[in-house]
Formats: sequence, structure tokens, C-alpha cells
Amino acid sequence: MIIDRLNLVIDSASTTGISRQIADAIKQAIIEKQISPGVVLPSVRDIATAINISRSTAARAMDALAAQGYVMAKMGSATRVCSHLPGQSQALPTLPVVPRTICLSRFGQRLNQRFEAGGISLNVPYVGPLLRELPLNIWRNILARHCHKASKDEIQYVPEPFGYQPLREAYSSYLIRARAVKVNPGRLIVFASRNLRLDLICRLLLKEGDLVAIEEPGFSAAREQFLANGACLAPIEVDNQGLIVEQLFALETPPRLIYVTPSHQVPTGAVITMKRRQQLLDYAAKNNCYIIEDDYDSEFRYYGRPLPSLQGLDTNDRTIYLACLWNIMAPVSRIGFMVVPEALVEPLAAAKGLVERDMSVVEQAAISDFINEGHLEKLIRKQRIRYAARRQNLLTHLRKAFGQTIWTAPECAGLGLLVRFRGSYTAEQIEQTVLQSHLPMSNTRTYYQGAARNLEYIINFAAMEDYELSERFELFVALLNSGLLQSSQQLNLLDCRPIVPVGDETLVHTHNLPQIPTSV
Amino acid sequence: MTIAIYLEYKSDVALYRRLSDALRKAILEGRLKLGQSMPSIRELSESIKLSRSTILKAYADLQNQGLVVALSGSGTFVSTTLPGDLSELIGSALSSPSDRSGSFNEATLSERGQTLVKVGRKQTNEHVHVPAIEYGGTPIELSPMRDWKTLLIKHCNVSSEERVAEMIEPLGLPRLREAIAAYVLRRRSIASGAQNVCIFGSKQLRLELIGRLLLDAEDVVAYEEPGYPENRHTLESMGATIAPIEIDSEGLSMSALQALPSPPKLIYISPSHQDPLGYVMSMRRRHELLDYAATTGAFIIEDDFDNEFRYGKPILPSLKAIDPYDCVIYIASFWKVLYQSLRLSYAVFPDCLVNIGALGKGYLERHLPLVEQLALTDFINDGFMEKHVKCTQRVLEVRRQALILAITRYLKNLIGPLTDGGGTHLILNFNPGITSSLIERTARESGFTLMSTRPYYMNETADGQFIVPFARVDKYTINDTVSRFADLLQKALWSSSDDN
Repeated sequence: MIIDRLNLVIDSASTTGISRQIADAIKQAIIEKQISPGVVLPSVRDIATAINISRSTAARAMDALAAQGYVMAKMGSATRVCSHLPGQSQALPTLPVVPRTICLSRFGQRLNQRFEAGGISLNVPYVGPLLRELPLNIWRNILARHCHKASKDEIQYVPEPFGYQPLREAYSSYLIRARAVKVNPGRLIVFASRNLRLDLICRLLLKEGDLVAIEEPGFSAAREQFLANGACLAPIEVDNQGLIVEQLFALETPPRLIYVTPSHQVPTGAVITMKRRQQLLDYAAKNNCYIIEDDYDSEFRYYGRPLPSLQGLDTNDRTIYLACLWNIMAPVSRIGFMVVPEALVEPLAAAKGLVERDMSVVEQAAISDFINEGHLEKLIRKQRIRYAARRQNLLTHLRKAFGQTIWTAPECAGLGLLVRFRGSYTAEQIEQTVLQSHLPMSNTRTYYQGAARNLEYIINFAAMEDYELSERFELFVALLNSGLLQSSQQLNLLDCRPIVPVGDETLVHTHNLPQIPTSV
Repeated sequence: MTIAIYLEYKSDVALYRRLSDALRKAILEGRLKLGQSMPSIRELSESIKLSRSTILKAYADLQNQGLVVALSGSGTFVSTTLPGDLSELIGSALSSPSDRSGSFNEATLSERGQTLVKVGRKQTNEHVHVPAIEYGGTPIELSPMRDWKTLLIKHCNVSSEERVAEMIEPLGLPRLREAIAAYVLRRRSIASGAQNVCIFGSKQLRLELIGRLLLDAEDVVAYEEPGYPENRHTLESMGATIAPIEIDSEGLSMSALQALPSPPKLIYISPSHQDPLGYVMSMRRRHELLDYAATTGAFIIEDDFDNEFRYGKPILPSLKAIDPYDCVIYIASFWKVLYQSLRLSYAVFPDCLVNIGALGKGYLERHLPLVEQLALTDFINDGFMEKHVKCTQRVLEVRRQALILAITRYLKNLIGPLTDGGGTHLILNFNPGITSSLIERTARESGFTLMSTRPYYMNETADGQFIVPFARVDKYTINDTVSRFADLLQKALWSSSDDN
């Protein structure tokens, strides 16, 4: 019997549907020539009774095979295997592939160089909120509503280069309210791919060899984008008040672009003070450079008040403001936003139309509803409370396990905590142990353009539930100490003084700071 | 509700007063809209870390100023009418100085930025002239929306952590890439395998990626003339020099290609159904082109934009399938088959470009819409795609016949011979002496849908050449429409010859 040769076994645990499983099994048998062309296949009824499934399921499998051209169904007669199988009908000889040398563009070459130098990698691990902590039910309902609606009006949707109008309205009113950004829907651009934002700015404003000021340490993906576009970098160091603007003023030629993360510096967490913000804006206006404000996780400040954006303070219209929903809603949404100066609106409209005109309407419509119905802000509030608790929990653990031998960044913002170990362990020991204990901790090497700081790590406390983080942390400590040779008495405690924040923030911070003796 | 508040540091002003000033500013700047609810006291105290009593005092202060109203049992709201002259101030604080846009200087853009903007403007202007008739898309009534929606909703309901891990693959969801690899193998005999398939969230990004990786400014791109304008613009925006290569009935003219002063780095063609003229590239020409690419080191972009629809003619294998030199980049999309706003599209890279392609893709676009990718995977694997193509093709065939019949009946004396082809449109060549503007005007008056091929040409335009889409033709009324169009056109021609 042919039916025995088909090897129809149903795996009920699989996520693949039953009809697909059957279709795949038969297709496999046909391709591997276990059933030869022209042979009559068992009827739907036979298949259904033989493996005890409903006839309609079996019929669906046969329909799929017929549609894809593997079997031929004829009214009034049995279904047969096609004599010419799809994909092989042309009987093409297998061709020897001649290896080619490729002549890449300068952009392609730079990309390749950075890859070989280890600056960019193909597999970037997923960092984002936990799926089970997102309001997936609400999201599903909204999405399903728009899928149902996805009929006539959305089929006929004429793409807008700046993105779906209702979404731009919804998000700009959120930005005005929550971040004091100067924006109207005409200046807000939606990007389906976040990476295109910086790339488009670079293409518009940078020529090869132009100077770009970046934070040191700073966000590596942005740095790589500038490098791929042929920019020269001017790394500006960061202290506890954010970017050290004096270093910027000391540059011989003013940069074309200044890339900053003022609300929460990556990775140190420092917030640029009001005074420096003003100085930065004045400098940009005087020297005709554009400031790129990447406000990528400004939502997560646990102590102190949310500061208004740099762009909102800018009276000279020199700030390009970037935001995205990734840290809040990934993987549900991947959309990025950009608010541009009035002068750049027209050129960008022309350029965006060339690069990315068409974006998924269903997704954009669903997000605008998500914002308008208040779910976004509710979610942010929940996350903020949750992450603050996790951060506190992590601090307690760190304090208990390492006491004075670890320094933690005092800034209370963001999704990661910056820590520095003090000499008692080698980098190798720590990194080995991290791998073994699966602690969400990584070194900050990639954040530095120049020499990295030794024994500096960032712990992604947001990526894990409390109990899980505690478990892994305990494992980490146990493993680390079991291999420890050095005693903790040799430590130099003088270095442990935390950087004390200044200005208005001081009051807020001090009672949350770990108690560390200032002298020994 | 989140609201950004900056409290200025003034030691002599009470904290609640500083808060009420900041909120007043927010209202006057329009950040809190008239009639909108104010954040609740508990919420505000959590987010700005002030005690509830301070906030209560600040709200009372605002209430005294007439800026907010407290309604017992429902909360505090911004007043709908503000006292005195305040309402005139609203929004003025946030609006940016308008004279800036006038002072914008082109020279502040980089050289390539200027090229990008110039080409972008050109494209925007051309789009204005093209009537919004969506000449390519599947007729709406045939859109498989029911099946598609079911799949979308099914995948909204299942989301597991495992899929999140799949999402970070810059080349696209692995199972969708497998489904597409199997699909192009079945339909177009392309045996490259899933590792060469790359999914894009927008169809423009395909050429953006290829162009950025391979083209520097001034590099030569051989582009079929006439050819699809949008893709040409994308390549042009990188500063490449576009060399238009004419088309004859066998496809791209090899002699014109060989006559180029410097060999091109890229060759862009649509061999299975030339866009817009509809010629099919002959087998002999295909091999010649591949050999040419191999000797010059050029890459060929094969745009297989509407391979799904053909009428009566056997389908030739794709260029990619017969490529022995690893030099063809195959691009295609599904919007013609499914619906206009589905923008998932794909490319099949040659082996030598897979690695650098993945790098570049990760640079340009790392994450794609998850639900739509999952739905599309099922749509292909469960046979919906081919079933739908078959069913659409049957309907299109009828409409095409009705259109051809009407055209040969009424327009025979006004146009040259019809060219055969697949796809979703016909090409009409009107007799010389009939101006394009007259044709367009008459078409508008009579409700006959056609579109000039002008944007498809880089150099001189073939005057009087028009695209007539038939995907949305109504087989019952098309006869009347064409006859009305022919009458009006004939009358206009007579009257103008009378004038002479």
C-alpha cells in the first residue's frame, strides 16, 4: 500500500498544524521519489481513516499539494503525482559555480573592515523587555481589530513617506506632554527600521572625513553608523554631569554633528545638567553644527524628576531628536521616531520617500491606538515601578556579596547598572563566571572608542525577574569565590568613593546611595 | 500619564509654587490641552517625587488662578476656558520660529545629501503627475483578505519567547526564508536555498542595500530603457551614473551594453516581463548577458516583479536559475499578488554576497514585523499563495481578453500593433500626430484608465505610449468606455484637422 510508504505520523506536540504535517510528509515522499510520478495517491477518505483525522483536514493537505503543483487532482478521477515536479521541470544541469571577486563600494569596504575588527557583529543578542511582562492581551485585541478592518481602506492606503498620519499625531502629542519636545506631526518622521534614522542623517549632512563628536564611552551602534559613513570621530569624555563640554569647546575644528544621550547617558547613566545643556546648545548655534539627541530610554528614571528634553530647550532649531519604542515594547514594535528641525523637513521628506516610503499600515494603526487609549503610558509606569524594584534588589545583592570592593554608578536611570570591580578579581575570572552563571552582565568594552576601562561591567537588571536574577547572582558569587585566590584585605578602599552628584539632584540621590565610608 | 516638569531652583520660592508655575507653563505651552484631565495626585507624586500634600497645594493654587477645575468624584481637569488674555498665549511658547525654513541653505547638505534630495524631489514631482490608479495591484475584490486576516489573527494569538529569538535575525524570520526558498524553487527553479534569501520590510530597501554595498559615486549602472522609475531613482540617489540601455523584442540590447565606454558595475533588468513594455528576454540573450557579466565582473539585478501572471505563453526559467557565474541578485515581492500595503519583499543573493549582504542588512534594518512574517510563512506553505495566484490569473485573463477585444474593435485605426506579454497591463502605442496631452484629457473625460510611460524613460520619451492596466477592468462596461474614448478622440482629431 502506498499509504504505508508515506510514513504519516502526526506529532501532536508540534506547533505546525496537522494538515501541514501531512502535506509535508507527502511532499517529502514525492521529492525523494518514494512515490514515482503518475502514481495514484490514496484518497482523502483513506488517509483520514488510516491515521484517524477528519476528512476536511486531509482534504486541506491535498489542496495545498495540488496548489503547489506536486499532485494533480482531476474531477471524477483519482489524485496522481505530477509527472513534472515544480522546480525540477526545466531539467537544468547543475551548474558549476565560478568563484567571483567582489568589488565593494567604499561603504561596503568600511562595513567589512569594522566587521573584521570586531566593531560590528552579525548576531546581536536580543535585549528588550520580557515578553510575559508586556500587555500582550491588549495588544492582540488592538491588532486583531485592525486586521479585521484591514479591508478596503487599508488595501488602498497610499503610503506617506513620513509615516501614518494618526500615528504621528498620537506620538507627537505624547512627546509634547511627556518630554516637552517642540514638535508637530509635520516634523515627526516614523521609521519602520530604527537604524535608518542615523543613516539618513549621515547621508544628508556628512561627507567623508567630516568630524562627529560622540560620547566616550557611548552607544556603539551609533558610533559604527558614523564610521560606516566615513566620518572621523571626536570622542568627548563623560563625567557624572554628562558630556564634558569643555573638551568639545577645545576641539580645533567644530564638528558637523554632536551625538549625545542627555537624559541617560549610555552606559554610565549620567544626566547632562541644565547648565551644560545650555552651553551645548549655544555652542551648536554658534558653530552651525547639529545636535543629535538620542532619547532612547528616557522613560526609565527611578529617582528624581523626568527632565525635559534638550530639543525642547533649543531656541535655534539645531537639534534632531530621536526616540523609539524598542525599550518599552520590543518585540511587539520596532518603530523609531525622529523629530527634525524645520529647515530639514523638506529635504528629509524627499530623501525618506526614496529610502523607506512604504511601511506596514496595520502595525502603525495599532500603535496609534495603543498610545491614544493610554496603554503606552500605563505600561511605562508599570515598568518604571518594576525596574526600580529590580534595581534596588540588585544593589542589595551587590552590596551583600562584594561590600566595598565594587563601585556602582549612582545615577538612577536606564535598564542597566554600571559597576566596577576593584582589583580582587581578574577580568578573565569574572567573564568566565558570567558565562557559567548566565548572569545578564557584559563588559563595557564595546562602548569605548579608545582604550576601555578595565573591570567595568553593565548588568541588565530589567531583563530578568527578581527571583531569577537573585538565583543567577548567587550562583555567580558562589562560582566566583570558589576560584578566588586573592584575599579582600589587600584592597585599596580609598578608591571606592562614589562620584557624588551635584546640583538639584543631590537631595534626591543621597538617601538612595549605598552607604560607603569616605575614609579608612 | 507622564509629563515632563522642570522645577527651577529658587531658594526663596516655595516648592508648591514652583510646581504650580511649571504646570501653568505646561498648560500655556499647550502641553496639557484645554479640558484634558490633569495627572492624578498619586501618579504625579510618584513620578516627580514630591509629597502628595505639595501637589495638592499646587493644584489648589492653579484652581485659584482659574487654570484648572476640580470636579468632585472625577478628578482635576484643565479649564476649557482660560481667564483673560491667557488663551491667546497658548501654543505660542512652543511654536518654533517660522523664518528658519527660509534661511535654509542647500550648501549645508553634504554632496551626496544634495544628490539624495535632488532625486527625491524629482520622484515626488513625478508621483504628482501619475494618476493614483495603482495600475499593478490585484483587484480588490480578489484580494485574499479573508484567509490573510485569519492567519494574521492566529499569529497575534501565539507569541512565544522562541519566536522572539528568531526575530533578531537580520535576514528575516528563518522559517519564512525557508518557505520562500521552496516557493522560488517551485515556481522559478531557483535552487539557492534559504541561506541566500533575505527578507525586507520595505521594497525600496532591497535596491538601497545592493546599491550601498556595491556602488560609489560616479559608478556606472546599466538600466533598461524604459524601466521602472522608482528603482532607478534609488540607484541614482547614491550618485551612480545611470546608463540607459534600450530594449528590443529579445530583451536588453547587447550591442548598446557593449558600447558603453566603461563597463557597468550593476545591470538592472526585468527579463521575465519587461516593465513596462512586456517583452520576454530570449534564452539566447540571457546567456549572452550572463557571459557579459562574468567577463566584466558586473552584478545583474533581476527584478521578477510580476512573474506570477502570464497568459498562454510558457514561462522561461529565471536568469537566476541558469546563472553559472554567481552574479545574479534576484528580487521580487508579494504586493502584486496580495495587497498594496503589504510591503514585505525579498531578494535572493548570489553566494558571494551572502555574508556582506547580511552585514549590510543588519546595518540598515535589523528587525522586521513579526506577525506579518509568520502569516506570510503559512500563506505560502499552506498553498494559499499558489491557489490565489491561479484564481486571480483566471479572472485577469478574462479581463485582459475583454480589453483587447474592445481596443481592437474601436481603436484599431489610432494605435500601432499590440505587444504580447504577461503581467497586469497592456501597452498602447498611439499613431504619431496624436499628442499625449490630448489623449490624457480625452481619457479623463471618458473614464478610460491609462497612464503615460513618460516616467519610465530617462532620455527621450516615446510620445504617445501608454500603459493600460486591466486588473480592475469591468468586463461588462469596458466596451462602452473604450468606444466613448475612441469617439471623443476621433472628434477631437477631426476638429483639430479642420482648424488647419
